[in-house]
Amino acid sequence: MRVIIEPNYEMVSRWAANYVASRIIKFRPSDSKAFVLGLPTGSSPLGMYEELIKLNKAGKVSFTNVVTFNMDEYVSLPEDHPQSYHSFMWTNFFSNIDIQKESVNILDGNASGLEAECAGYEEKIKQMGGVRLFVGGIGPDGHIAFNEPGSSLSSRTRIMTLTQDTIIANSRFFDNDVNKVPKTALTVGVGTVMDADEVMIIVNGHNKARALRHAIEGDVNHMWTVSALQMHPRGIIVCDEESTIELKVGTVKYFKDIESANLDPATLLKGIG
Amino acid sequence: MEVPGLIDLQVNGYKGVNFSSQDLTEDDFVRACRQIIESGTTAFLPTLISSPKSVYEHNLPIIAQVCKAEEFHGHLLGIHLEGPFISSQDGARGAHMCEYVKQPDIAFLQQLIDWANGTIKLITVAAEAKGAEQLAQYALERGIVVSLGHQMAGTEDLDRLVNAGATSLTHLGNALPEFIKRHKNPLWAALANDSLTAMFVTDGHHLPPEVLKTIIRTKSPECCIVVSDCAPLAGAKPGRYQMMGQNVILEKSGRLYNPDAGYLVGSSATIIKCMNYLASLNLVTADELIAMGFYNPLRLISVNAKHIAKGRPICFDEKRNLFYLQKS
Repeated sequence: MRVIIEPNYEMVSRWAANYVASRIIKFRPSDSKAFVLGLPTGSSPLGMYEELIKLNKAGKVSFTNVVTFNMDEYVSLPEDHPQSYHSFMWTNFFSNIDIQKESVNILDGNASGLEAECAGYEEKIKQMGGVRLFVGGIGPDGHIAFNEPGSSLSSRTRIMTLTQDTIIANSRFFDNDVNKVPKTALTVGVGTVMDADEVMIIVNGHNKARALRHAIEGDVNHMWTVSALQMHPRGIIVCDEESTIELKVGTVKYFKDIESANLDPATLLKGIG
Repeated sequence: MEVPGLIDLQVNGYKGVNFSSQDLTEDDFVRACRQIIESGTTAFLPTLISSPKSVYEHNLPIIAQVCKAEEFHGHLLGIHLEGPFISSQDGARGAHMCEYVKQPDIAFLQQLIDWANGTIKLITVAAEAKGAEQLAQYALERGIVVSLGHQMAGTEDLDRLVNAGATSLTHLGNALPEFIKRHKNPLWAALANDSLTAMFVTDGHHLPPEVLKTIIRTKSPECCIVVSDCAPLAGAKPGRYQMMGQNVILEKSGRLYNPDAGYLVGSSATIIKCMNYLASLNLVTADELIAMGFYNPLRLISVNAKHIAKGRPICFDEKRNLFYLQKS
C-alpha cells in the first residue's frame, strides 16, 4: 500500500485530483475504450472534485470518454432531494465537467426491485471491463461506502441498513430530525471496490485519525472495512498531517521517506498530456 | 442525553406564513404552528414586528384565539410584540418599516393588549424612546415582560428601564447601525448591564463566533437565551422572495437578507438549528446549552417548565455536540 502524507487538505485534494487526471490521460480513453472511474460522495472528496473541475476547464483532462460508477445512494430519497447522492454528484462535479450524462452511473434508490438494481450494477461494471480506479473516503469508524463495521470484506453491491449512529450523524443534513433520515441505502460492497485495478482512499481531519491507524497499522478486520485495502495490490491512501496523529512516528517517517519524491502533486502531471 | 425541550421567544413565521401579514388566516397560522412544533420547537412566542394598526387589529385576535386552544396549551406561550415602540433610526430599526414605528403610547399599548385578549407575553421597546419607562411599567403591571432592543440606548437609558422593570435584551448585537462610536455605543452599554439577560440569534449568520463568545463570557450562560428570530421564509427553498414589502434573498447557506439595503431580515433557521450552531462552537457545556435553549427563556417569561407540553422528543449527542429529534 502507498501512503501519501500531505501537509494540509488543499494539497491532499490537489494530489488526488492530479492522480486521477494522470491515470485518465495515460490510459488514452477513446470512444471504443472508456476509462472506468469509481467515485465517492462526502466531505473528503469535495476538494478533489474542485481541482478536477479546474483541470477539466483548463483543458488538461477530458471526461468525454470516462464512465463513472458511484459508491452508494440512499433508498427511497427522491433523486432531486438536495441530500441525495445524485444531487451531490451533479451539483459538486458532473454539472461542471464535460462528462456525458449517459456515462454517469449512480445506484437508483427508488428502483422497483432493489436487489435487481444491485445485481444489475455489478453486471454493468463487469461489462465495462471493471473499474480502473476506485476513489473513496472513509468514515470515522473506518467504513468505505456504506459498508459499516462488520460488513464482509468480500461483500458485493447490496442493500444496507444504516446504524443508529450513522443516522444520528446524518440528521444534521435532514433538519436534525432522525425521522427524515433514510434508514437504508444501496452500496457497492468492499469486494466490489477491491476488484478495481487501483483503489485510492482520501483521508483528512483529526476525526479520521483512529480509522487511519486501523487502516495502516491494524490487522485486516471487518470491523474497520477500509483495512481490506491492505490486501489490494495497488492501494493508495492520500491523507493530511492532521489525520496521522494516531500513527506511530516511525510509520509516518517511513512513508514520508519512501514517497519523498512523489509528494509534490505537480510531479504527477509532468511530461504527460 | 435527553433534552426537556427547546423554547423560542421570537418566531415571526414559518414556511411562507407571516405572522405580521395582512392576509394571515387562522388556518394558515394553525398550520404554521403545527409545523414549527413538528420541526422541534417545543414551545414558542409567535412574534409580530412593527406593523400598521390594521394588521394588529386583524392578526392579534386570531393569534390570541389559537393560543387559547387546547391543542396549543403548553406550546404557544403568548405573543411577542417586537415593536412598534422602537428606534426609527436606520440600522437600529433593522428590517422594520419606518412608517410603522411609534413613540411609546400607553393608550395604543392598551389597545394592543385588548386585541390580543391579554395574551401578550413579551414586548421589545427601545430604552431611549420618550416615555419608554412609563410604558414599561404599564406593561409589567399587566404581566408583560419588557425586553430592550432595536435601540441606540446608552448606559443611562438602560439603567432607567431596568429600574422600571425591564429584564432582557432583544437579539443583542443585531439591529444596530454598521458604524457606531467606539466606546459610547449600545453594544458596550448592553453588555455591561448585569441586570439584563441577553437574547441572541445563533443561526451562524447574525453574529460571528467571537461576538457570541464575548456575549456569553460577559453575561454568563445563566443570563443568555438563544432565539431563532426565524422569518416567514424559514423552512422555504433558497431563492428570491418578496417579504414585508421588500426584496429578500434566501441563500443556500441559510443567510436571509435584503440585497438593496444589505441587511439581514431575520433568520431562516429554527431553534434546533441555532442550538446546533452554538453547540458546534464549543463555547459552553451541554447543561449550559440546555439552560440557554430551555430553562433560561422560561425563567424570563415566568413559565414553569411543568407547564410545557410534550413536543417532539429531543436528544443531545455529546460525542458530536449535536441536538437531534428522536423518532416520534
